[in-house]
Amino acid sequence: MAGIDATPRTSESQLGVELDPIQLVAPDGTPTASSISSKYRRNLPPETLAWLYESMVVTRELDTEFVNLQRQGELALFASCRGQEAAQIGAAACLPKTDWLFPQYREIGAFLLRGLTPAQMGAVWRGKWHGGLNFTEKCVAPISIPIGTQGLHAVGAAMAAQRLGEESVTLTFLGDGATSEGDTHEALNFAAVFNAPCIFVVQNNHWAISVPVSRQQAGPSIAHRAIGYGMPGIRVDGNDVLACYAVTAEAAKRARGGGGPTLIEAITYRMGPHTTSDDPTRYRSDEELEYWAARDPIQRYRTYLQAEGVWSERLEERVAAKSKRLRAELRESTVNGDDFDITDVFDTVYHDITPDLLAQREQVLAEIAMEAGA
Amino acid sequence: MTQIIERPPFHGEDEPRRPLFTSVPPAPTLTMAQAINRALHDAMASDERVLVFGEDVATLGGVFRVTEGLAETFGEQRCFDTPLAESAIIGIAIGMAIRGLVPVPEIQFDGFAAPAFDQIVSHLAKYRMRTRGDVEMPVTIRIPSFGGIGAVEHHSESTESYWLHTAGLKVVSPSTPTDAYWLLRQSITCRDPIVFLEPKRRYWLREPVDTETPGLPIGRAAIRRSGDDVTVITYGPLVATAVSAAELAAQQHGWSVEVVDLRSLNPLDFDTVAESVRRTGRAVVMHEGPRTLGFGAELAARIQEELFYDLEAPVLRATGFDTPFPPARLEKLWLPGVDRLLDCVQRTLEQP
Amino acid sequence: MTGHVRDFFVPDLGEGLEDATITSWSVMVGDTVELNQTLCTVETNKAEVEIPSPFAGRIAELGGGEGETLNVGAVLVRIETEAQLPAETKRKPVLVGYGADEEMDDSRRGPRHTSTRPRAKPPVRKLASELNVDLNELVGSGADGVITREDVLASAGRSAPSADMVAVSGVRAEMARRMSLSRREIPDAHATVEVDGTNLLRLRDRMREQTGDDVTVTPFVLTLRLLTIALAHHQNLNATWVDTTAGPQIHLHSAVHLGFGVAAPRGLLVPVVKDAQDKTTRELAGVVARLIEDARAGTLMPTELQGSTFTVSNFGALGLDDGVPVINYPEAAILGMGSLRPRPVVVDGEVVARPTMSLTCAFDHRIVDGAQAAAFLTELRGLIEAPELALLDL
Repeated sequence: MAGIDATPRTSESQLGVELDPIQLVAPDGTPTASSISSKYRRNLPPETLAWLYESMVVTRELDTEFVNLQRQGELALFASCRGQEAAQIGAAACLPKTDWLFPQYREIGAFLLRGLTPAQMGAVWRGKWHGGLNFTEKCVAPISIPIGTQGLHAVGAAMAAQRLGEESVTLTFLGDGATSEGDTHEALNFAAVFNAPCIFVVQNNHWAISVPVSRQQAGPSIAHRAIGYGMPGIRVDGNDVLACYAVTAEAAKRARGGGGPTLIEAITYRMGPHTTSDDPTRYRSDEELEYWAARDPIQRYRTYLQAEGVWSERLEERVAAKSKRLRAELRESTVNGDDFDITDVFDTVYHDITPDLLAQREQVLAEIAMEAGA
Repeated sequence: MTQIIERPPFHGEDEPRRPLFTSVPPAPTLTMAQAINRALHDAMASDERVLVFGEDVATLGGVFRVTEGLAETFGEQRCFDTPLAESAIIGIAIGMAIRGLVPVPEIQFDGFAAPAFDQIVSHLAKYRMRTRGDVEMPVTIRIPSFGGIGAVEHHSESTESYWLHTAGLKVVSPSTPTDAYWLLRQSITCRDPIVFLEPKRRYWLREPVDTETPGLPIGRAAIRRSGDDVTVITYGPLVATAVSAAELAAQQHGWSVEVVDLRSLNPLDFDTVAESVRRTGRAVVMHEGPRTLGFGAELAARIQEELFYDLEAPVLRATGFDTPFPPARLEKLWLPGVDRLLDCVQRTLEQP
Repeated sequence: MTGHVRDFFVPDLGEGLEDATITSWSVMVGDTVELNQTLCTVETNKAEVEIPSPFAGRIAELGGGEGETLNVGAVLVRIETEAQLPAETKRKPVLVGYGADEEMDDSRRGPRHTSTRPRAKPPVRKLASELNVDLNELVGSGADGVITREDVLASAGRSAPSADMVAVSGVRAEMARRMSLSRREIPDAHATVEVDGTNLLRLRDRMREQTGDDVTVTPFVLTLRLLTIALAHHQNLNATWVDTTAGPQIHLHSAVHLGFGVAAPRGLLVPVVKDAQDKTTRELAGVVARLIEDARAGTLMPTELQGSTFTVSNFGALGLDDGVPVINYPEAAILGMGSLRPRPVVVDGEVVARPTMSLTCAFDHRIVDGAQAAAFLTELRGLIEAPELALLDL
């Protein structure tokens, strides 16, 4: 008979959430002196440090190109991640590329890191196809528009990894708004109950369209929710790429060792609108923007790298060249790329198309033929 | 291709259309519940990627004992109880499918599919198409369904219309123990997501079940009773009802009623329906649940679209009413039964 | 640089934004710009937004000056570019996509010829299609103009009219209808007698001497007068077959309303002499003459063409010796009169020339049997051959 376990897995004394977010690099670029944070300090090789920098800058450049393209009418819409580069890149960078990622939709930084192409990323915003074309080749799930639903998929994937005997970790990105959704609660609960090797990275960018995080939850922090589920909860400065890297790496190590899931709250800020066509001036102040601009993740990290002797003009040139190349790729694939055929919509619904759907497919082809002949 | 192991084809998948009746070797007599249990057992034994999970399915063996013995036989990794959260049950099934496993989650009762609606409709149904065929969802959701057991609220619902109106889902409902066994086996090996609606009031129907010879595939209807005057089209719990009604009709009125058991609602075997209605010229659809936008509405539309000139009478529907499901003691008046069906049959025969 | 001048419109930069004010231009007309180069800064509410150039090229025209407010969708700048880009549709982006596309309400359908659809049940339509009957040509005889199976069957086999055909209408159509009805409904039989008209003619001559030209007493008129007497004695020839709620009945008419055929320009007309039994021979002659005149002139009243209980067809006046007339439905019988002219007859064992005519009575065999018809015709012949005997019943 499967055991009825009366003792809880985690005791009250084991769990506590530090309200002060973990930080290794202060907004002004200087190393943070803090006893708690110091245990996260790593000695990453210069190549890795430079790679993190390059990834963040290229992400921002690509993000800008996306916004431009939308303003020029080439994209249906775009959800900018400006200001959140450190949170997502730091988290994704510490994982091997075979660990699965389950994004929401504001994670082009993570996509870039995994080697997804601008064309792949752009397809959904262009309206060329849904989701994420061939994302799974890079162990990335397609984007999830229904908020917070992907947490459960990540937990399921992590439970599958357990059964497949992998040592992998599954990571999902959620927004602060997503933490209000029932599915997020269920995902955290399941992950804890099944001790799934799943990391929940909440990018708390303070805004869900126009609703502030203070309206999403009334507890001390998002990370504090972890206590109730019986898993560790960690707050991290989401604009500090090294801190995000370190905290996620620790959570990954714990999960790989059978220690179960972790809830990470990365505190960051959505510098741009929710999507293009949103006007943030209607609900937030210039002062707030200025406050967060002063905490920009790229600016502070550049200053830090300069002090560490990792930054150079050559690095900057290399980064600029890559940005330019990827921006051009995005523009080219978006503006000059062909649409798919409508028949693809019919052919991809089922593995075995049904007779009725086949007939409908014929109908749309006939309509197209009629229009062509008219 | 992202999923780890290529799925072997089920040996019945590509077979030519088989005759309806074949000689059956000795087979164990099973109830429908036992047949489902056997199907789960055999599916899990033949494919180690198959998982069964849900509320109360492991230790208890399911509230109807349908999943009995699976956890003991295959271990907790493959058959396990989940916390009480239907959205999560389907959500983790999706994640598992992405990683190449074959989940067979259970929603304990039809009325409790509602919390899982988002995951089923927003993700499960769309995942293959939205990834342009990249990611498959070989998930089979088992749901004890429909009425007729005098239950308390939320345990007698007809949910098929919701799933049928969601492109990307296949919907199957067996009416006999043999069909329950084979349709479930085929659903599990099918690479598309399937909602498997088990008619719980027929769980105790008993018949010999041949687990060696593959049954009719998904997408084929079966004629349960031949007739010349009127075609009755139904599925799941009401097939037995329709056959009883046909027998009564023959004895009392001399009417010859043909009963078509759809077996799968999507994909739909419209050819069998059409062949029958072409012959009889009269069709009555019977299903539980409310009348409006039930499957009868779809069938009536299809039949008059394609068989307009063969109809001697309008297509009628014997259904429940457009109210929430009634309390147990009034259920018998509400559900369509022999009488409501024969009323419709009579009306079709009375047309000039 | 030669190439296309492309318009770049003021984009929608926020929810509900309808216009934007240009706060400053970063370029002038004639400047060469690169892709994404900042063109200008526009102000929306409190925010200032830089607008990047969508293409590389040369500024051809600015859409407004600094400080000017332009509507969203108005031309912001015109750039001469070599790039060939497809025509843009002006869609206003919304939070979640490109925005509404008016082209979705366009149609590729050409004008269609609309017609009212014939109303027929599915099996009837199928029948029509099998029999090659065009439902649009039929008038439905069912309720609400619904076309019935019978309508289709009746129409089957009809062919389309051609140039050498004449449409059946008016009097001819009515005649056709009545003749068809008669033959369809009445099981008729007929019987004939040959009548010696010698005495009839002598009587006619004698009366004419008396009346002069005011009154035309013809053999026809005399026959009609004698006919009324014969009908009085054989009432079931002056009758109609009626299907009543109590079953079939024979309506025996006490009055004799005599109809007789007249060849009018419009066709065959059958004026009726009402209450012929009450008219004197002189009166009868007058009425008949007037009816014939009016028939030929086309001035008969409709009431004068209705209500007969017995009809006479004088085809003898047209030169025919013999014939079988069609009963004037729903009467019990009709009398046909052949031509009156000399023919060989046997008198006292010798063949002599006498003026004769044939009288043929076609009768409804449901009402009249052979014996009754024989009795009637025999009496009528007797009266015509010896008209003075009519005095017995006057």
